Amino acid sequence: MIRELRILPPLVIGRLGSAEAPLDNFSIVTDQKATLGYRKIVPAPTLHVDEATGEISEVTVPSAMEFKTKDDKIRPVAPFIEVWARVDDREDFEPLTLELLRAHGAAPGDLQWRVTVENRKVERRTGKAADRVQASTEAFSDHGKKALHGHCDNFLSDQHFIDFGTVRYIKPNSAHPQIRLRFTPAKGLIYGPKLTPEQIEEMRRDAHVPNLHLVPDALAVYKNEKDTWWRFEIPAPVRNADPNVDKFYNETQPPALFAIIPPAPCWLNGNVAISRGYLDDACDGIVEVSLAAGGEPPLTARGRIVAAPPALVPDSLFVRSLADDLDQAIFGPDVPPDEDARDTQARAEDIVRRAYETVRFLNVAVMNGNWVDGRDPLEIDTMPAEEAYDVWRMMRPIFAPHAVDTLAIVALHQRVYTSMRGGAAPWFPPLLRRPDEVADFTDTGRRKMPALMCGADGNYLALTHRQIDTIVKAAQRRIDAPLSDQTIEADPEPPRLIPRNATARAAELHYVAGGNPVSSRPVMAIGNCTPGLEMDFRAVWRRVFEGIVLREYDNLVLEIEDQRFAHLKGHRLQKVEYAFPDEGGVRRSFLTQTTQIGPSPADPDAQSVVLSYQANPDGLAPLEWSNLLARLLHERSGKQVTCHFTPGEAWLGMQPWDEKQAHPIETMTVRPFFEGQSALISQTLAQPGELTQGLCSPWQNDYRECSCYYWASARPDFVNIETGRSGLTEGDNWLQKERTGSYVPDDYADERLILYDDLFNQWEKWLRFAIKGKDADRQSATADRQSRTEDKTDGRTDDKTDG
Amino acid sequence: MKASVVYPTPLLPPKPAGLSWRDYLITLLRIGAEIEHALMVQYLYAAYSLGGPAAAKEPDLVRDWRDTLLTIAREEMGHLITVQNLLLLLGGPISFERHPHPWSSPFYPFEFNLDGLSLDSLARYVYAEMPTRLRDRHDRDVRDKVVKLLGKDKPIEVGVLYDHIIKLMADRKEVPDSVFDAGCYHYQVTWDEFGRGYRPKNESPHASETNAPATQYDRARVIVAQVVTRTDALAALKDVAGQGEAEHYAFDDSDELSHFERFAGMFSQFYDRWEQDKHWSPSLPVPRNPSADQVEASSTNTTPITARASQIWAQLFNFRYRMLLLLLTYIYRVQREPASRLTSLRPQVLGRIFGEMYHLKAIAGILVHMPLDDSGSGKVAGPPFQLPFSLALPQGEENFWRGQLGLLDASAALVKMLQDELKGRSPPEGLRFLQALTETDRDTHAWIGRILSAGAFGWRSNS
Repeated sequence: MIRELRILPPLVIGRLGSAEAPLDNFSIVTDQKATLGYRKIVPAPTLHVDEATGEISEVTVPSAMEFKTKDDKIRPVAPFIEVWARVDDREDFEPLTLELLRAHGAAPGDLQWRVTVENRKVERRTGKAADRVQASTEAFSDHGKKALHGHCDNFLSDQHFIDFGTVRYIKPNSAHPQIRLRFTPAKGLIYGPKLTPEQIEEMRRDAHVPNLHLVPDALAVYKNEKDTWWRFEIPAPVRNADPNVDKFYNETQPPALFAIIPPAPCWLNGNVAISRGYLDDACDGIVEVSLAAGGEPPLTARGRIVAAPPALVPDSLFVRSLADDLDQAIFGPDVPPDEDARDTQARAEDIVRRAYETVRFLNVAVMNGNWVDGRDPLEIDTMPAEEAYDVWRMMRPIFAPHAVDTLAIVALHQRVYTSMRGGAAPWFPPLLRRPDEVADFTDTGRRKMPALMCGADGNYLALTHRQIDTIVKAAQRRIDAPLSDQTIEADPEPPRLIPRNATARAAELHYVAGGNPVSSRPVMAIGNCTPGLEMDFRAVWRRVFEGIVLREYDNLVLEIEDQRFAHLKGHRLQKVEYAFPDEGGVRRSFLTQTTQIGPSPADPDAQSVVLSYQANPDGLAPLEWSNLLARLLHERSGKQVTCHFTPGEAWLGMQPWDEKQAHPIETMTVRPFFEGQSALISQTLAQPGELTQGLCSPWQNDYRECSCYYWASARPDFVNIETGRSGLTEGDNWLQKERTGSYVPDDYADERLILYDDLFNQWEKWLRFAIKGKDADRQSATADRQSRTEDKTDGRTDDKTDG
Repeated sequence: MKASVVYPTPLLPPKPAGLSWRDYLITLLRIGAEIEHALMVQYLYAAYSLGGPAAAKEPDLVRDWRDTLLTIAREEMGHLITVQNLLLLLGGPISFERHPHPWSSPFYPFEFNLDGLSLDSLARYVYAEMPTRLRDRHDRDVRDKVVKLLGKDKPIEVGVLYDHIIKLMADRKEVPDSVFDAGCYHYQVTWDEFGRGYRPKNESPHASETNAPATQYDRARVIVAQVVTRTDALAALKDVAGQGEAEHYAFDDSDELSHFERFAGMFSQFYDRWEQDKHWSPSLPVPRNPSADQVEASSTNTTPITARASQIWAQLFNFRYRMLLLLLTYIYRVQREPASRLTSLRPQVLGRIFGEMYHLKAIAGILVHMPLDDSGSGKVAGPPFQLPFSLALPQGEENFWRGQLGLLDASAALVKMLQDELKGRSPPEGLRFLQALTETDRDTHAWIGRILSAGAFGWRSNS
């Protein structure tokens, strides 16, 4: 008898694109001829589904990968999800197939599917449930395509919807007997309000944008009414952190993150951000399958699907991916002391490798805050400029200006990797930024690794606790411990069985389903969600404490789900503590906020000051939940902890922690992160639509608005790089329209760069794939470059890839 | 600051007649540089020597010792760089030269040797770094044990050299202000470039409680001082001296442990262990003063590495060491340009400097697990740290980079030998390292080729 079902993988990422044919399957592996170079894109067995029957008609391996068609349509990633089953008293799961069904008196028609996806991006901003866009199927057992049409109370009518794509129960056959479903995401369209001709004319006149994007009639679904998403605005004084503001707005972090009526960006225009009323066809939700057979109670399994922007750099992995955060949620923040040192070493090497895979897409000299051809770095989007504006730190380059150059820094990291491959234990743990040091804006703090990038709390990026401990443990290994010879690849070998043991969840999470490209997996999604590209992972932490809902990026108690805690609404969760009575009274406690510190003007190298200003007089900064709660989740899942809250409501800002002041103290239960023994993120933690609600609306806006110092290897900065005549790195800004070999620094206004309306109008044309660091669309690369050095940094492979 | 101690001047080489005081000061600084360099490689060798079955019985202890030795070596590197900045300030030549091991200096109480860490070698480190006044009973106890172990009864203070340098530097009559070349500032190496973050965190301000741990003085404090005035120079010298061999310059209220205190701590731990088991050794059976050059080895107190593959690895180590020292010498010719206009090669040179340090670390780790000879004795090889015949730079930058290409090609030939004819005789991590090294060297080769072909340099002299 079938005892239990599982959907694998439990979290799968579809990628938007308007081409008819989904992207072929591929993986990425180390190029053995260039182990330090770009990973090799390897086409993989691709499952072709017959449109008429819904069966897998053939399996092919393409000779070359085509990410974008000749007419600039991006091929979507349409992933499969598989159903696995546990039978009788066996411990392990195996694929659910025709044969297994028959053996247990069932047929494919006994399986029922139900899919629900939502887009809550607008609701997240307006706070109105009427802005929630929902799509769900009825229960189905047939093999036809099921449309996911998203409806919304604030759409013009019931006939208006957002097309979120389709799902299809694949018809199993003798050649492909496994039970699976395919999710085909949408085209990446931008929806919006139905405007009058007068409103359009007014916008055109005031915008001074020659190619102002207008929503086509077919996509004009949203109401044109007052107090809706159209012309939604958070007042500029709020955005300017005016301390006199006394009304609460549940802003996102970063703020705004939506398409605004020009001029844009808002921070260059008095922080006025009035919404254009745009929505997109990204979404996330739940797939449910149930099996009722033989009179037994139905068995049910669920999985999550997400529709995300394309993976535009398919051969590189980010230094901190969603997979890293999920691994931390599974295994906890610490590497066990009895882990084989070889495994630890291999993972430590992998982190260093991903570090240089990331930094090679950063124009390090510019992002460092160097002067650029005489231009003041404050005029250009860089991490130091971000600091100066956000925390009022005095604007200085992070590293010595003379010491930074992209290829030089990449080479340095590669030499670190080389030494580790030769058996040298990592010597640099002191140089890693700890998660509680993210708001240290002194030079010592800023220069820690990873450098030049932003974390999920808006401070500097830290690796996960687990990643840091991996490097620490590798450094602490016995002096002559046996050395690893393995290289960690993006995709593990797919197992025949999924074990039900301590590593089951990880095996499920990273499972490579047949036909699914590596870009459908968490390893290729970014982990520092501010707000993120594939999903805003911060959202899952809001309900970790049963009974309250926290804001995704700070410690504000936003909502109450258990009336026993009604008095806590608007308070701040400041401290959490718990004890281990069986372990000699070991106690843990942590604060949920930190203090921003910067260099003292009197002694910048040795002293520090609190970085405070009128709106933030105590210089307090939030800490990202993923790292903050890692240990708590590992040690107290399902158990109780003691939570300390502010004495009173603190809607408008964090309050300094004062142990001595009387304040509410509550015993609260920590919600498990996963459901049961599975790797499905608890549905209570994140309902449909919540994993993507914090992302930009439309997501195309984010590719213009958020810079590469967030996710350099996913949304790059520096492409087509090579050594210039001066010995320094030259290349193009990924966002510059014409590739000249001369980097155009980003001031958000230079028309040589792709601007907002360019993306709204033609994002598939302007967002170029980068393969081996170069534009995959070679026709757009300039031909007028002299004496190009033959690119030897990424090896000589025979891969044929086209963008 | 503790009261300074006056030392008898006959310990110093007298200033030759006709030599200016400036030149004499430069001479003393070059002696100081050589000692710092020798100490650094001595400590590195000791660190790399750690391992073996006995060490495996005390893994945490031995690892801590390794970290301490490497930390002190980093700090000695900082001293060496600071002395170069001082030389530049005086208009003197950069000096990364040192005598080959073994060698003696009147300013160091023992012959410099590359030895595995033993109670005896550690006692020598303690002895050499020992200050005139000891703070507490523990330190005095250590001194007594060290003196008894070594049979020395009259300490020679390494600090006497720094005392005289400082005294001379402060002498406005003998070393007037006109001697200092403030224009060299743009050529000096800075802490920002070289410190790699090795210094204590900024003191926390009075602020709300955070999760961050309190600042601890538990890591290296690499000193790299830029100097443009006499005041800068004196402060730098005192800081370097106080951290190292002339502890009397250290600030009383500093929490930082001096080199002596750190070595003394190690010594106590080692001594306690030794009393339980006099045969216990935390080191692999590494040779004294290994040599990749059989001719040189036959004429000095060195140990030739004769196992063929080990010898090639040792030669590779020497090549990379030479590349490192040449790059270090060269960086002082690359001006730090105004921030508003960057065209300098400095980022690549700095990256290569540290890259070569990392390579040396890896090769050293490989060498100490390879046989010294073919006798099957179990003795292992070690990193030779042998210097080339000269570290003088050629005329013109173009020729420097051509020389670097030559070194890369020579290194590649050794790598090829190890990967091909000697493949089976290297450990797996060695082969992985060689593959990665081949790739990074190929990129470096291409980069140098690019800048040479671009015609950035001409035939010109660089001052």
